Amino acid sequence: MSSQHDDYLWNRTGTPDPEVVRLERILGELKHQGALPPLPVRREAGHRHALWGSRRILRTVMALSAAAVITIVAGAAWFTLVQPRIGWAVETIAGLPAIDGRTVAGSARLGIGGWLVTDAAARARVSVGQIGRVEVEPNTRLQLVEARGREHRMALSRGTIHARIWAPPKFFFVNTPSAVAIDLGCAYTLQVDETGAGLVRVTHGWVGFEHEGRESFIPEQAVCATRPGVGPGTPRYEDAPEGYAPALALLDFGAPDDNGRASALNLVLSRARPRDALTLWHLLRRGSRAERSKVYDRMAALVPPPAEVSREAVLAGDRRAIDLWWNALDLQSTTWWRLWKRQW
Amino acid sequence: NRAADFHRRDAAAGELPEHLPAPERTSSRAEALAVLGVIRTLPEAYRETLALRLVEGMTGPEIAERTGLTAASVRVNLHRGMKLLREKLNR
Repeated sequence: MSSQHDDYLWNRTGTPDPEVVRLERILGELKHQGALPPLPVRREAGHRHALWGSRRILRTVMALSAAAVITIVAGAAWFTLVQPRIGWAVETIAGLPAIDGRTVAGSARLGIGGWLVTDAAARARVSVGQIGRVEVEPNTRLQLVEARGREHRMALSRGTIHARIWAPPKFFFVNTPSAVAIDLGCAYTLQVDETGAGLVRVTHGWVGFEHEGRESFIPEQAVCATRPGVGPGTPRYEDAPEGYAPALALLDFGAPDDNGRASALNLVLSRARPRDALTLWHLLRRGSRAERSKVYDRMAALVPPPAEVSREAVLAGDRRAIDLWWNALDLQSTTWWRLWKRQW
Repeated sequence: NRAADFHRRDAAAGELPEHLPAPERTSSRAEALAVLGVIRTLPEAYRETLALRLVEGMTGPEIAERTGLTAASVRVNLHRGMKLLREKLNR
């Protein structure tokens, strides 16, 4: 890149860099509407990619002793004066959303523990710190649970949100009455009804659904339901074969002795395409051994397991074996998967 | 009859509406999200700086003022981040 192009990247002077101009045009569509929320001022010393000179190191060391004293004083001030202001910026899109019972005509801040409520005519946009945005549809009720570091968490008790997150996976969480939605990608819609049942539809990237160790991984163009007391169901692609939605609802949330289970499972297996291995993979860990045995056979026909994955290990619920088979599904990016497995 | 029973059960299974209201999905938006997805794979320092520059349209000095980073750091982050982004987009 020439220095003229570098100048354009820096402050839009010099010769425009065609690639930068193209990216500005593409990404400008996602530009924040209205004023950006304030960003916390960071400590330059903690910036890993800044250039470090010896004089800077010396200055930093000298500053440490003074900082120790200042930290004690500033810490008290922080907790009493600054922390209560931490929260997410909220903008009204339509109608009159309310924060903790007070209507928001323009913009306001949702504090930790605060509730944002929209009625049938109201819509709002929430800035999730520096990591993303959430659009809140009418008839929605949500609470800000946490907003710090690697944990940005809200609780959605009912209604619909559209989340768009650009942080790394596992920074943004949405508690619902029946599962936690964990952002592993960019954009999704999450809906919770009056009974606490939920449905996530992923439009870009990945979302994880988790409840007491029961996990579902939902890629873009897929949906997944969740139910109170059960947790996440089995994901399926939106273009899944006819009958998939009710069949999976029965398998996931029906009674174990429901006499419709066999026909539901047969429908899912007989109509499965190679792409539906996503659905079948989740069923490998659900249902009776006899059901999982049928799932194994069908999935093995669609996507043969790696040599080191045995039928017995899979049917025994061996997580390593099942995970190895996942890797054979060729589901594009595996970055989120590795991050999911990492213990934070 | 079992099939009929099963399909009658469909309604009882009662999944949430399939047609969730979704934000606009235009091809340009999909492209923007795809590029954003690549940006988010960059190291943290580059990711934030590039997002403020390319998404929010801020200049380097504005980013420095907003983030508290020095102008030199922002310039380095923009330069290196853009280099990495080009490489990833051209793969």
